[in-house]
Amino acid sequence: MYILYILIIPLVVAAICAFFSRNSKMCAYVAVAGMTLSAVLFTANWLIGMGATTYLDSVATSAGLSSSGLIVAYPVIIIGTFVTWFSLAYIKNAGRIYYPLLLVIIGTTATAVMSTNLATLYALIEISTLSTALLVTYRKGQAFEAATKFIILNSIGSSFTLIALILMFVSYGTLDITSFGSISSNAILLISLFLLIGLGTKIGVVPMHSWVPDTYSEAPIPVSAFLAGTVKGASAFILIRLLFSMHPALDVVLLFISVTALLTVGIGAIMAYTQKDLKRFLAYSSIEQAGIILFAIGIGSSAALAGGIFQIVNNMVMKTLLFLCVGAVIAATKRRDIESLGSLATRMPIVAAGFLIGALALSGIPPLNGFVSEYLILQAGFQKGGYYPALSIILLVLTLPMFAAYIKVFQRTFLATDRSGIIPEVSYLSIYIIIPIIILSVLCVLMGIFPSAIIEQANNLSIAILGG
Amino acid sequence: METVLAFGILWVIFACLIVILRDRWAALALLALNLTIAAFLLAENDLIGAVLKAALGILPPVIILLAAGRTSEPTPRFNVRTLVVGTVLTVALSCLVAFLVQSQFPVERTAETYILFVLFGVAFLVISSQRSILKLLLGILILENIGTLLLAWGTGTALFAGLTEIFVVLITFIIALIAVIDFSEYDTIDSSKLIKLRG
Repeated sequence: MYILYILIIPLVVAAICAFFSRNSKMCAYVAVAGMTLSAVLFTANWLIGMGATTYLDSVATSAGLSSSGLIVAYPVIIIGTFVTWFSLAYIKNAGRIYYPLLLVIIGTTATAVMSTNLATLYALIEISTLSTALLVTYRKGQAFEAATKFIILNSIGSSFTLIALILMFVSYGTLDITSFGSISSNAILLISLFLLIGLGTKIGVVPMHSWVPDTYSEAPIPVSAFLAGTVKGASAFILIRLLFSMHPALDVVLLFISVTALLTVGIGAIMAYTQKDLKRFLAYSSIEQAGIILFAIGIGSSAALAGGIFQIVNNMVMKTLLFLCVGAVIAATKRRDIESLGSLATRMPIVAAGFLIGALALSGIPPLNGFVSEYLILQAGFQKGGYYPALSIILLVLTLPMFAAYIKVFQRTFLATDRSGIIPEVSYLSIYIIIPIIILSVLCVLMGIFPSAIIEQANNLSIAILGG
Repeated sequence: METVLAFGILWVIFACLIVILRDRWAALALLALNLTIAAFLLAENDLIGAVLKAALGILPPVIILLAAGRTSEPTPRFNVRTLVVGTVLTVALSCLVAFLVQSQFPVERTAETYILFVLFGVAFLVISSQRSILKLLLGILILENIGTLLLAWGTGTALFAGLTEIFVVLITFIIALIAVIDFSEYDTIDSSKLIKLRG
């Protein structure tokens, strides 16, 4: 089975859902079946031959797809499948628009990370952005305000990305990023800054992050989970691909990216600590995570990029896990204010365990997956020398408030007795909510204990990206 | 060189009008900007680019006009005199920046460099000085037009140009749609008020 066809499954299912499903329930089941099929086929391909180029036919190659992005495309499909399952139980009255748009975002994101053609990449980024704007407005009321902010800021970001891609095309004379030659360092500087502003907006880098808290808190939980974990990671991966396809990457740009990354980590961590709303807390924590990934890009060495790619994959798993746990809490208690929650650990033990694993993994605690990737990034920072050892120490210090925030939120939500005196009622949680939480929790542990296969893939990919 | 300069002056004038005029008239200024870009592409023998720009470039202003008809424009943040002064300063500052970095660009592109920097500055002025969502959209569309003009520097750009124009229309449609829904929900398309709704 060719990878292209597996990637197309979500888009085909989206079309089926949009045009042929008679009601939203049927649409939901078709979407879940389609995504599950895509995930199973992808896993089978993955097990048969990791990243083998033979899984790309001539159609895929001429469309500008490269198998080198499989390491990120695979988790996109897997996380997309879990998010679709979760939606089945979480989203009531989805209507005919929710699942088609969700599947379009999943399909375009998975395809975008495999794309090495500038025009294809631009089209996929735009389709994903526009679908997300419509999906955020799925709920009326304040969601429209969030959608307004999202679409305005992301459209400005997209304009920068477009200008960067066009400058690349005009400068190199080709759409294929794998066949870029050399251009002047001034052109590289200009394109790099445009890329950083454009894709940085999608990643949620400070100061282009202001859409993130509103959008993640107002969009339905499965959508927020996919945006925070997956779309953000995919955008970071695309930034790595584009930035390092230009040789040589400029030291001044990398240093600027590193400082911006530290600012992002610091602001994300401090703002997260002050939040009282569970979803806004996670939104700010995802800004902090974006900063860590950006720091790896800023170091710019092969080891750092390998750590960054591993962190992107890990972040997809960890962040989705936390969002789904919060979704489960909201679904069971109908509350999202941290102060109004408490004593949930005994009544929702699986969700509590999942949240704790996700929080510890995101904090970089061994032996979980987040520890391995963050260790690789810090190690690369110390190895690079110059300013970077000092910047790495600052990064380490800046992540401490985030760790404290995770512990505080876990303690208040799951362990502390309810301060309002009213213990929230907990309703039954569907198996479609519990199973993704269990699988993602197990993945956090397994990817931490047995990271070598992914690290090897990430290393090969980073060497290929840097080597041109 | 002369062609670029002549068209460039027109583009700058239309972009400046977008800063100063109210939503409906600003949409017409965008229409004029798009059509002159199409005419420029035709003059540069880029027939496909010109046809694409002429055919699809009409749609965003029309969509904005339709949305403006269904919404009411918020009170501008600045009065006309302030906007005119801001525009003149922006144009002057953009020219200064273009002058400083001019040596980094090809000599035969000197006129384009100045024009693109001025358009960039004016687009940011539109985005930063306005409250109306539709005006913000117009600023974004000036940015997208810079992309279209940059494409004229390359060869074999028809595919990219077509894609860009299609997505510009889609972006316009979705932002205009959200503006209309925002207006029906909150009775305003004032971006600063909408953002303050959540604090």
